[in-house]
Amino acid sequence: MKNREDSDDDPLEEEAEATMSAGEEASADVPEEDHAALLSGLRRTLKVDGRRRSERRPPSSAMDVHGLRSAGGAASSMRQILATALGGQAAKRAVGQELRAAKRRHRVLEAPAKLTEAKSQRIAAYERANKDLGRWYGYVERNRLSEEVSFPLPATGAPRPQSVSDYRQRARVDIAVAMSADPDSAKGESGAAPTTSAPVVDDLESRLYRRLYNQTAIAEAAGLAAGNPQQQQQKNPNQLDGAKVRERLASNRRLIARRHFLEEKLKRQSRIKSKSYRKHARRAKLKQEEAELTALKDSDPAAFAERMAALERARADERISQRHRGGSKFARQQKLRAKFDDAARQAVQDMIQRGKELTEKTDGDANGDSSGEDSDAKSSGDEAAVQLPEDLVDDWNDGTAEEDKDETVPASLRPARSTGLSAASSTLASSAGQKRQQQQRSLELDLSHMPSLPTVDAAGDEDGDALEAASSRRSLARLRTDELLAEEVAETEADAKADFEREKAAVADEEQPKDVDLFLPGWNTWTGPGTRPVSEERRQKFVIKAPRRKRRDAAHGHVIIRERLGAGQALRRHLVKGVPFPYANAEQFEGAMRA
Amino acid sequence: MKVKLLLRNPQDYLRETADDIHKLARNPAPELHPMSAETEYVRALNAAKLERVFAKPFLGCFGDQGDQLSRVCMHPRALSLCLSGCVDGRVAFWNIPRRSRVLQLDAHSGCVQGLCWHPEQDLFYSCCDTDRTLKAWRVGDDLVEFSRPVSQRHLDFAPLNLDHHVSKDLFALSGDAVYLYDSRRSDPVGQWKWGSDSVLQARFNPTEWHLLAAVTKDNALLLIDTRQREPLRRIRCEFRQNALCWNPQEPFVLATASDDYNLYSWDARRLASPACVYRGHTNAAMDVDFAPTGRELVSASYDCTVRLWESGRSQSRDVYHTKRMYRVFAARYSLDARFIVTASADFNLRLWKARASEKLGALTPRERAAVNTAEALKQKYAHHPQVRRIVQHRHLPKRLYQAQLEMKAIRGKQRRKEVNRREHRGEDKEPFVPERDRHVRGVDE
Repeated sequence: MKNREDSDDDPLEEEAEATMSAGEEASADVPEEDHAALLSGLRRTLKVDGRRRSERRPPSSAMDVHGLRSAGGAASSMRQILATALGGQAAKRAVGQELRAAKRRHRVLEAPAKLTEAKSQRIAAYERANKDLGRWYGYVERNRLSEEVSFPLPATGAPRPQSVSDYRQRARVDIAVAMSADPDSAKGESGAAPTTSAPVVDDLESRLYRRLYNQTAIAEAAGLAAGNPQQQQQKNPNQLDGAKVRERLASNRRLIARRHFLEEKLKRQSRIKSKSYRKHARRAKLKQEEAELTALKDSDPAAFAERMAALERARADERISQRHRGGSKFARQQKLRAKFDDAARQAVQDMIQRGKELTEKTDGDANGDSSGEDSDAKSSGDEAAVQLPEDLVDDWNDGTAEEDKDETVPASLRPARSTGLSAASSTLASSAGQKRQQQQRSLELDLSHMPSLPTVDAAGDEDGDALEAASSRRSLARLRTDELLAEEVAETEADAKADFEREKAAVADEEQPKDVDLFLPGWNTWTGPGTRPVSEERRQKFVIKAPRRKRRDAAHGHVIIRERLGAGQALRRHLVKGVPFPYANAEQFEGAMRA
Repeated sequence: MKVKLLLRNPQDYLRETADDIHKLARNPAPELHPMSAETEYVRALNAAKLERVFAKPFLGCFGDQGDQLSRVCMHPRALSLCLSGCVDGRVAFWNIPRRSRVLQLDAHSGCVQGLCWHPEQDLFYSCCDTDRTLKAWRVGDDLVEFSRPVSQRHLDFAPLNLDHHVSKDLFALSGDAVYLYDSRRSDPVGQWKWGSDSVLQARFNPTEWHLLAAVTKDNALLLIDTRQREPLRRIRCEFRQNALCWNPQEPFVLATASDDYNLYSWDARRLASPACVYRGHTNAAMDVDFAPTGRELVSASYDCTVRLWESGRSQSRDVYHTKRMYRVFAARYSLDARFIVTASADFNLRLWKARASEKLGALTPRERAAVNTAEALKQKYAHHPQVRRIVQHRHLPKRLYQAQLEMKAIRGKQRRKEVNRREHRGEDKEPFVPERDRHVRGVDE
């Protein structure tokens, strides 16, 4: 027991004991505290845990008895062996080899074969199952992508629901049938034999269609032509056989019949007197011409040039005729031509201008040269101007002129000069401008009253008093000018402030939702005179008050913050913020939304 | 005299009956309708709103059963028939459209743990863990015949669930292991076990018939091949999986309902992590079932709700609840994928529409066209915030709403913490782990 406890002891202590036993006489006189300090220092440097025992036990004979000393000796001998073993390079190599060999000899035992076999079997079986399941992958993918899913209800032989693609396929065949049976719709009036690549389907629908529209011959011919033209050529390269002759005759007959139909149609059309029909026909013709021209430009430049030359000739003819009207045939053609020629556009404009000039009615009085402002003033209050004395009229004119010069006043604050405004109110509105002008005039006057300042050469002649007086006069003058200027500035500032406040109030008023008056005008008034009008209280009941909104610029005296109501704010809630998942970019998404 | 005629088809401008709406001629030229995009958007909004207005999914309750219901089983061939198993051992046979009970049996002396139909015969099996019996019942015209089991066998383990093979006379019983029984033999023909805990449910793959999947009490999911002696693979999950279901249209896909409030769908070929995590329940998911189309899932939960999911989308499409519905233990799709039957702890069987706003009954062509248009519009504008908001909005009871908020807060907190940790410790020490990889502890081969 004791022995085990000792073996559990601090290794450092043991070593210290060993050294002590080596030189016991030397350490006999070393004080106890010093020794403890040395040990703790050693512990700290070697980082050895000395928690198990705080104090050193002195070496005793009992320890010798239990052979501890010999154990220490064994350790030292082991150390010696290690030192000799690690002495040389060759020795190290030998140790390494021995270690490796030992490792090789003592490998960790593997799991019993029964277990590993079971595992490998499981893995193999899982892989087989995976393979079986994987075979369904294509089916599953197709099923996931398909628009419809069919799942069997057992014990019922219900047919599979018709899928969209089936339906589309059928629709395509139907259209093909219709195309092959109706050459005019496919090829226009070119009269070419119908050679559609679509197969001629001989089902009930197409047969019915042919029978109905009497196109059996065409369809059959198409079928023949599509079926074996090369065979026939190979059979009779030079000679025409009966079938071919018959076919050619039939096609000739068809051509003749078609021409006849066309002639009849044109005749019928030429007899139509309806204006609207003519209008439509004209437009259609113009459109067709336009399309032809566009097509010609690319396909046949020579023909295009010829057509353009013809148009030019028509223009020259028109110039001779002097019918400068916008709706003439010439103009229409020019408009068409203008698509390709800037000069033509200019010509049309010129012509219209000229037409206007020529057709303008000449006026008796020569008032045309009066300026815009005057005409404005006139239009606003010409009746008043006639009645008012001349000076008032002058004032009015001055005032308006002043107002127009003053660009700083915002448009919303400028007095409205609508025709409905009376002259008196206009003068009132422009009184501010007049006042300012009078101020300016008075300033000028004051400056003119000032004593004339002596010139520099005059100052040289005069004595000091005169100089002094002149300088004092000058300073006085400067002072008065400064005062006047300051007054003026203060006044304009006050004006600007007032203007700003007015503007702000106007903006606030504009952005404030308005009350809705639901009171019916005329209510209680049709019963005739003598009836009492509706009381104001009652009228106010019909007014729906708009909610008062707090303005963002209410706290800022010098700022106007415009709050755009409605559109932008309300719309933002409805907008998609990012590009949603299946789309790669905004264009794709927008395209999908447009489709 | 010349008479000019315009040829017009009266069908284009005349109504069929006096009660019909007036037909309006409309010129489809796009330049005549400069506001068509805006109009369409408003129509999409209205379609979304109307969908919510008409969303009345609850069709009816089947009446009090006397005790909590544990199982539902739909008839494999008839649309209108289903079975319900009760905790007190009674099994009821229901006519769904009439909501009437055809018959009720005192089948077992304890909770009915397994119910399944024979795929071809008019025969069904039931099992109970208390009396440890498996009974076969015949459903015929003669109700007397119906009242006694055709056959009965005593088991030496407590069965926890039952599933029948799609075509053969085999059924899988899950108890302390998965047992494969042949109906003509007394002893099991196969037995699979991995670990010591019992198996909660084992189900046959409806397409690859030899494959079975099972969930066990020790949070594992087993894949079993009936041709092999041992299970193929075991997936150790974080939480217990309560139920499982194979996708009837996609043979390698299965879904499990977990105790950690989630559903998981698994690809049997890659079992290292679930293919999709379906989050939304606020308590344990008790049952899961695939629609016969294979595109939708229904789950029953301990939080008293039923949720519907699109396969592969982690958010639920809809959530059904009623004031009186308590813990839901089972939910099954009908054969035509249009209805759902649920069994809950409030002694009731309930019938729901799979599409909440679908109109039942025949549709006139015009109605059909309107429905199709509305669907197309909703689909087109699905990404627009207002449309999405309306379509996704569900009114939930306060308790559920609060639970959802709480879960959201917890999740947000965890996420924030993760991000912070990643920022501090670096991407290499705290790598981002996708949601899918967080729920599997390991895979045993």
